[in-house]
Amino acid sequence: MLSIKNLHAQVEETPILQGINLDIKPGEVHAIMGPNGSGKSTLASVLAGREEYEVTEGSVNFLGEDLLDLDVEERAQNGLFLAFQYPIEIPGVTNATFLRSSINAIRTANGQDELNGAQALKLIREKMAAVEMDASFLKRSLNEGFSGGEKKRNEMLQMMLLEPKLAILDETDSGLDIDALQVVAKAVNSMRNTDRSFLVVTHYQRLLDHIVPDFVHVLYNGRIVRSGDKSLALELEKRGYDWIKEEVAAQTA
Amino acid sequence: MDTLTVTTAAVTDNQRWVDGFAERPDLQQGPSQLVSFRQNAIDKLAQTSFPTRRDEDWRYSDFTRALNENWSLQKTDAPQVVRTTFEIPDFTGFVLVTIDGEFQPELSDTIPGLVVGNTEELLDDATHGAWIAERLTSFAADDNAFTNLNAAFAKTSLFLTIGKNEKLGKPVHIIHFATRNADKRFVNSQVFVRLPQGAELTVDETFETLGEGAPIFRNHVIRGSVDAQGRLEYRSIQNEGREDYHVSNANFDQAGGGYIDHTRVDLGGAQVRNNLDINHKGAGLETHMAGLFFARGRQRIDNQTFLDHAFPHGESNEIYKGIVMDSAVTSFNGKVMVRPDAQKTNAYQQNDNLVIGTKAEANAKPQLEIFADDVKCSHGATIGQMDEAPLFYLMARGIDRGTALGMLQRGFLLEVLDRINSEAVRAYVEHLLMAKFNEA
Ligand SMILES: Nc1ncnc2c1ncn2[C@@H]1O[C@H](COP(=O)(O)OP(=O)(O)OP(=O)(O)O)[C@@H](O)[C@H]1O
Ligand SMILES: [Mg+2]
Repeated sequence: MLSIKNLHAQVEETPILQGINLDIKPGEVHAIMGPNGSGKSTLASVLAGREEYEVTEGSVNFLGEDLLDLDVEERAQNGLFLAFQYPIEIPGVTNATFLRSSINAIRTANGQDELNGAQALKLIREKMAAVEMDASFLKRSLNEGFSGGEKKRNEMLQMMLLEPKLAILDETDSGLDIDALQVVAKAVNSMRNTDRSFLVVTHYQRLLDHIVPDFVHVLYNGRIVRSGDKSLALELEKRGYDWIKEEVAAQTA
Repeated sequence: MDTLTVTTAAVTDNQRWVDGFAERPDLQQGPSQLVSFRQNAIDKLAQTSFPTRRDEDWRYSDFTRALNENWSLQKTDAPQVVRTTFEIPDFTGFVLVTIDGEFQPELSDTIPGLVVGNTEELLDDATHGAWIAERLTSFAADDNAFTNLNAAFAKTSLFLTIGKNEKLGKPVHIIHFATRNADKRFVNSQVFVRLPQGAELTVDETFETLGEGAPIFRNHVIRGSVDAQGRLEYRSIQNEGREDYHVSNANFDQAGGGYIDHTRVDLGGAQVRNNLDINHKGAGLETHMAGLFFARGRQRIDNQTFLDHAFPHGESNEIYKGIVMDSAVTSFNGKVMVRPDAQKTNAYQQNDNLVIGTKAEANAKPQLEIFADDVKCSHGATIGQMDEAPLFYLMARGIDRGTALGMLQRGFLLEVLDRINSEAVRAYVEHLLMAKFNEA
């Protein structure tokens, strides 16, 4: 599905990713944890194609194609989805218009017919019910004035509508109340299948109680410094990151 | 030799227009009153220079180069008009037509309840003659060569009015055609709208061209009055060809208790200048002015508005929003005067500009002059760039860059689009906008 090899990326001459290696197979759920500023969102942005970040070394293969060669929209059309840590507010573009444009952009790129207004609306309402969003959010401008939790639900709504092959969730759980956390977990779990993979960036073990990962990785200083199964998350929850930082320091010394 | 050339050029500036006037014997015909209005206007023009960038009010609208082109002032035959091609889709109102400034009754709908006629015929009218004459007279007093010129060449201009306390219930769409031929043509057009007390009317104006040929320079004037409790909704949608020039001059007198809601849309034209003046003539009135403009390529679009609050309890609300890209230049200058007597005035003005690319230029000049102390006035102007973050967000959802840009641009203009009260007109403007967004 996704194969990242020795990925280096920088922003304005400052190296941030410093040799990421990661393989995600179809159907797997990978969790990425790590201290603030370690490069988790940068990795997610680089995969989604944000131009600010310059890839200086390494390669990324997504479903047999060189991902780094594709435009932002092509990556999405090929089945990559990023749930933003900070979803953008866009005044003047209604959520409904945005969702329909997005669904149809992805459908046409994949040789499917566009959905007409009524068809799209039916689908959107159905998925909105699943993420427990009120229909009134359709008429509002995209994310404008949405609460933190509402923005995250809206990201989950988009994920459900676009049915990506690989969904990257960047701290979708942060800022959520307990019920909303359940909604996110339910959304992800309902979409889990043998062909679809997830890369879940989180700070908290508690999300991983609901979305049980196959692998857990620790990102630190732009590198994956440790990988394990779900028990690694539990260990981090108990012990924090110091012991990992010390291990890394010992190795580089 | 040099001196001689320079001197000649200085004279020809306006001599060309005076000569053009002399070559139009038809302008010497018609009611003698009208003939003398034209003569006064051309005499005034002979002494009035066209504005240049040295005139503060015309800093961003120097038409010298355009005016120096070889413009024909001759009449020409218009080709057959298939009106439906130019109608606004799904528009459920009446249509009136002018060609090269002359009202065309046979191409226009008959509108029960509305008095529609041409200025030549109506100058003698007992009810409206004096009103028209007053306005025609004022043209020769204007220190504006464009209005002088317009008045000198005005023929059977469109005049519309409705009875006291009456309303039509349906909008009126005026299609102003200009005829192209092999010559570059200078076309003057005029409209007069008179709303007596308590009358209500909605007017939509569009500008079109007939046939193929060289560019058109359109010099358009609209004069109107809204009496007490009258309500005028007036929209002007300009989508001229990219080689054409457009100067418009709108001037309304608004009586106490009157209501004016104006929306101006500018998408076309090589160089465009709009003057909008609204003169408050009484207390307790409400004026809305909205503008939407989008300039690309090498277009220049300049809006100048002047709102004169001279009486108490006036309310005005002005919002102009524009997008400028490529090497285009836009400008907005909104003057709001609040005179000493205009206590309890509420005046709000906003101008927002979105600049795309490094070569485009937007100029914003809000200009509030407040001489009354018990008023609420606010104004704001912004000039911003397109952010990458929202673009990235949309593209990360599979939407291509062009479409994403279009969505964001439309979003930026939405506040003005939302003010268009007619579904059909709004859809029409959106359609024109989308077409322009999608231009390469
Ligand atoms: N556009 C940018 N300009 C400058 N520095 C940046 C930029 N983007 C990221 N960085 C820096 O790169 C580092 C990694 O940031 P990133 O957002 O990827 O961290 P993160 O692991 O997602 O942190 P958090 O857990 O707080 O979300 C940080 O030091 C951050 O300040
Ligand atoms: Mg982050």
